[in-house]
Amino acid sequence: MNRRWGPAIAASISLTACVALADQQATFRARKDVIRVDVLVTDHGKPVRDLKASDFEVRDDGVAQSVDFALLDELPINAILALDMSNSVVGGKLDNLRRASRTLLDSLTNEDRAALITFSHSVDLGARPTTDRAAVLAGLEGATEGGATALLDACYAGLVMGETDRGRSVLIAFSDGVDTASFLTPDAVLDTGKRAGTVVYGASLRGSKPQFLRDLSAATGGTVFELDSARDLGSLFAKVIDEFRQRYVLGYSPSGVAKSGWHRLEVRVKNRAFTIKARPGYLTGNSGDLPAANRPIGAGQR
Amino acid sequence: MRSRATFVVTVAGALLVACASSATAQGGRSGQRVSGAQPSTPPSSLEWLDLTRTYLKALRAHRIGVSDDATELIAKWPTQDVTLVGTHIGEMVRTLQQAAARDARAGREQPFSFAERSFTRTQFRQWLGLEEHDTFITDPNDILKLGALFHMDIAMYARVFAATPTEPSAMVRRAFASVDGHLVEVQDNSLHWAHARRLLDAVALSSSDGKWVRQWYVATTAWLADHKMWSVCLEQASSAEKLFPNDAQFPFARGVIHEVFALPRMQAARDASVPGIEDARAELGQAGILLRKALTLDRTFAEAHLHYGHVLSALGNLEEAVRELKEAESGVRDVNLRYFAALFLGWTEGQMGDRDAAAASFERAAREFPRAQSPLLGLSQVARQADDGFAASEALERLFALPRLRGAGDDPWLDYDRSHSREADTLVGEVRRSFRGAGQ
Repeated sequence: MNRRWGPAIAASISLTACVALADQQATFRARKDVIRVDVLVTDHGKPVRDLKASDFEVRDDGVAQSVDFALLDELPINAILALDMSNSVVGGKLDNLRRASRTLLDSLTNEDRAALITFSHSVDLGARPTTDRAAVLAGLEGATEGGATALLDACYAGLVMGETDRGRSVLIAFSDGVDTASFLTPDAVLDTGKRAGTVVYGASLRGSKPQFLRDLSAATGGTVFELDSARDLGSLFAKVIDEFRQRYVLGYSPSGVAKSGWHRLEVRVKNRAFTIKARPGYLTGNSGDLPAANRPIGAGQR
Repeated sequence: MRSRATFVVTVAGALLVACASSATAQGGRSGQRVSGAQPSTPPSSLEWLDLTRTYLKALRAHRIGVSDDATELIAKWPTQDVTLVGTHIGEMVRTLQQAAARDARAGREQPFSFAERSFTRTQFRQWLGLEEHDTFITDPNDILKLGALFHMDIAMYARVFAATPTEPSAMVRRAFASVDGHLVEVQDNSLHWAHARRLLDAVALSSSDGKWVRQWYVATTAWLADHKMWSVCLEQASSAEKLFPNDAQFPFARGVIHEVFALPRMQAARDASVPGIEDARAELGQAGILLRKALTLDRTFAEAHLHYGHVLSALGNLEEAVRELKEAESGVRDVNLRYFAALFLGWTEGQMGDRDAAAASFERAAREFPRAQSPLLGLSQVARQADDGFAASEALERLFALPRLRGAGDDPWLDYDRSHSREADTLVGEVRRSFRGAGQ
């Protein structure tokens, strides 16, 4: 996992700490980075691919911002899989999961990286972000099945793993059960989702009521898919990667807005009535600055 | 708060809904039915006497702590037969207690009336078909306590399912548990627990018997919590609280169950339209009231401070939570409880924005259980919340470097909902050993 935060253009969405090595001793200093926003633009369902930075209008807490760049398919993807290996997913579903993961790996380019987190009652690292497909497959084959479901903890790990200055990250989380084991609360993981730059796509089976995945996807600008069968996972994973490639990465240096707290984002294409899919905002600093609607139920709600 | 008609019982981490209707008595016991007599009216038929004799014989034949022919026999009885026998035994106990008092004053056995007949206590024993030295006559509480142990064993061990859906078992009902998405059929023996409690309600709470009854309630509430039979555990603890209103143990037991109901893992089951659990805030509120009551009764109850602190933290009452959790951490001896205290302190301090204190608390928790993931997840999340991505990643790297988590032995958080019932088997063994009755 990267620990050095690179140049502004590849920075994550929130205020970040960076490590400056001096005399063998790590020091931390906070610096304001360019804010990146992953945006999907569609026109009646079809991705729009010919837009420039100047075509976009971005408002941060209602204040218009100058969009410095709009990259389309120019940054490699970090695809992080968080896969449920608990009791509810053994047997046939697990085989489908393995097949689907191979399909996803096949849809990546040589520059893209994949990572694997598997979870049951524990969160296990299958593979760090890597271009080595075999390493990810080996992690999948070696995953242990059975146990309870720590979906929240696994999503948290995926969000943090996705914070890198290399490329742009998408977390694809699959679970068909309810969380029965996590230590972290939904609000804590959502807080991280609002700070990190990772876009979350969720996948679950119809009937499983994936409210947390819906909330996390909505907060990060992703989508939740509810499938009729685990056999549909492969095509879904490929679809997610394809959609992610169609997203622009917009960058701007915030101006005229407070440094800390929740920032409401509005993105539109000037003079066009396209459909925009992007995260609704981002969080920096003290979450106590969140508007009431975005605050956790209780500060320590577990 | 909770409807009696439906209730929630959990078994081995599952959540289930028991069927609401009490079992009908079709074909329960060799096709015979006992015509129901009102408890307050002496039966004109002595068919109930045959039932009572059979029941008492089974009681005396039963080996405490196992499932045997006696438990299997009575487990098949229709509810109304067991209830009828229990009612008559209650009447017999009261009659015998009064007779014993009169005999003691007179210095010899005096006749008394029962079922429109006249007996001395010796004649009564013979009429019931009991052995010469059966303690039922000399110490009626004995049979009630034995009955409680007997029905406890039925509830714990008897495995009797109805042969067909149209012939439900007596006090044993089918129920279904949802285990991580799969439907599993389980047996619900909660009516036997209720019957055991009814028997104990008739025990005269003299000093030694009262202590034993309390011991029974402490052991059985722990056992029920350990087996995640939450609703029955609530009923058990509520009954105990009525009998022992100044005992902190029972509001503590009830408070912890409501605390467990507020956990996300239980709330998720609630979201699946399972009745019996309120929303998290309501459950936490109820938990807080009960745990505060326990601490009012016993300020030195360290484990109650732990759970109360956890509840306060979840409710956002952070400063008071820190005080309670610090008191718990300094007062508890059990390593699991010390771990929880440090873990929850870390969480609470993190929510207050005190990163250094939170990190120190999480590190203390990690030292108690070095293979646990929860402290490192907490450490990471607190760092990330402070926008320290480096520290967040570092903590996560420590987690990934751990050996694979085997279970609650590595991270007790996985079994937090049963943490307060960790000595259940020991307690149950002790209450059995401490019972002394005729023939045992």
